[in-house]
Amino acid sequence: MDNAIQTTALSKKYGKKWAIRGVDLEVPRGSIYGFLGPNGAGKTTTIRCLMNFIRPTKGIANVLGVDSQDDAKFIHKRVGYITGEMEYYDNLTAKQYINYMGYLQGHLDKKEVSRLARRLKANLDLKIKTLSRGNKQKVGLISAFQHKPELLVMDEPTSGLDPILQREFVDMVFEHKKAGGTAFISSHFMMEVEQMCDMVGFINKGRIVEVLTLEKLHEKSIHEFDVMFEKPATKEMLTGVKGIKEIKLNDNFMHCHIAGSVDGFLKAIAKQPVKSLRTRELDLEEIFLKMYGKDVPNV
Amino acid sequence: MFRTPALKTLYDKRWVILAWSLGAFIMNLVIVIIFPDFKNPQLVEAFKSLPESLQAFSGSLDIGTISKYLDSQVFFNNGSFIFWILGISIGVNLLSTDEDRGTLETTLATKVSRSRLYTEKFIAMFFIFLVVNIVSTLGIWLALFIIHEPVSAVRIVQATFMLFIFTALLGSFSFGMGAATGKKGLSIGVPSLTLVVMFLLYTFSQSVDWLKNWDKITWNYYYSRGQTIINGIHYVDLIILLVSILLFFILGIIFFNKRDLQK
Repeated sequence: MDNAIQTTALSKKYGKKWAIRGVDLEVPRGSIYGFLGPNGAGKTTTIRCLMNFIRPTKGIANVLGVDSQDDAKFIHKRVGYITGEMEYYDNLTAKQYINYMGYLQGHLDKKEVSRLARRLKANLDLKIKTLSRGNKQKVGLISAFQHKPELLVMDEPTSGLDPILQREFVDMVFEHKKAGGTAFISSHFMMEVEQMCDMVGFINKGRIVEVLTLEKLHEKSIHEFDVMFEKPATKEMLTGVKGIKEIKLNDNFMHCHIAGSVDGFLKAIAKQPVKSLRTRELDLEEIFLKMYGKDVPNV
Repeated sequence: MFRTPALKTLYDKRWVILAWSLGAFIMNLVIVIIFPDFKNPQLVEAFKSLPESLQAFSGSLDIGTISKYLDSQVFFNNGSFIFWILGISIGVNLLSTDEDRGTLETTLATKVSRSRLYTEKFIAMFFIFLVVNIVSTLGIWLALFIIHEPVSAVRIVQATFMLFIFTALLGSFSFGMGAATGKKGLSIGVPSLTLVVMFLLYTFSQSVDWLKNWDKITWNYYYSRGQTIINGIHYVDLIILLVSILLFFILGIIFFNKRDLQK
């Protein structure tokens, strides 16, 4: 399949430390690819290589069929780029900023800008310096989407967005995919990636640890449950339940981690009177630990 | 409103341009307007009796005529010091500050190439220097009109042009250094230190024997020795200054295109 992004042994060294080493990525055209890793794993470094903001020490980053170092202009024209920590021209209004970036991009669709502003409930008449982080992020999203790019490259794009806007963002990415576009989205939230992506690449300490399809990811994903029963909890309650990674019992209380489908677990506990049930998504560091048994080695 | 990095730069710097232009205008107006007080023959003699090194340090103190006064006090002494600061501060601000803030990366995420951004900012910088120089010269004209001192208009234009080129050289140094390294501290420090060393070298080479020919490695020599307001433009000097600007432009763009952006 034709890849929108393909990196081969991509490596970047700062001083004596490798920020990323031997990163091989294949992002098929028309897919939504999640790039998942804890803070400092190498996600931003990889993305900055793709965007030609930094030069790889070794390896190749090919974006939309072009080596990122050979023709960054070709790539940038076709890419919508946003990061969670993007810096804006604070002295401009949101509208001035979006217009300016549109002119630089060589494509400014004012109708699309208005449509996106309405959709994200963004006030474009305010100066950027007066906006909250979330509202600045809306401006960045409008700027990244308005020129209808072939490829979205996004580094933790939802940080600062409230849950309603995060949902809106997910819908926008789906619409982008429906229109034939590709998205490469880095995140350190498993749930965000699960919602959107067809494929997920895990990176830790500068190396790609594993690449999973969404199906495989669901099989491997781990949910934590705290259950309070009416009667004392026993291990036998979960007889035949698949994917139990961890279980702790204390009188009527049960704490357990379930990998993959939680259907069997929920059916099993429902056979007993349940007083309360609490579930939580594991954070990425915990997921890495559970999925790979131990922390991945340093590069 | 603005569709290019050059126009955006000029928009961002509009108040800076206004403040510098007004400041330079008033400075020149005041310096020239007090010239009649310096025409006093006793004062001129007193200045002439000062040691040569001190005269050189303050710009020539042979200021008995308006042309010599302008050359020494406006275009060499005060003028060049003020325009040093203008050159370096604007040169630093246009690229290094953007990079420090992270907005450089934002701009370069569009289809604008590094070369285009660099060149447009460079042009905008030249335009800023040109405006400030022109407005500052209007201060000279107004003062000359008030004190009824005739000076060749062509020579004033020529001297202003040379000062503009000198400012542009300092700006190019600072701008090129910032573009090449991405380090704001270096792009202020290295040009400032270089200029101070050059100024001292140029000044003391006129009175210290063993430094006699060292002034030729300073830009001050090529900027000042022709005394443009008295003799007109010395074209060899102009070319040397222009080549230096071109060199900084080329080195800056080469390194800027090859290096990593700072985060």
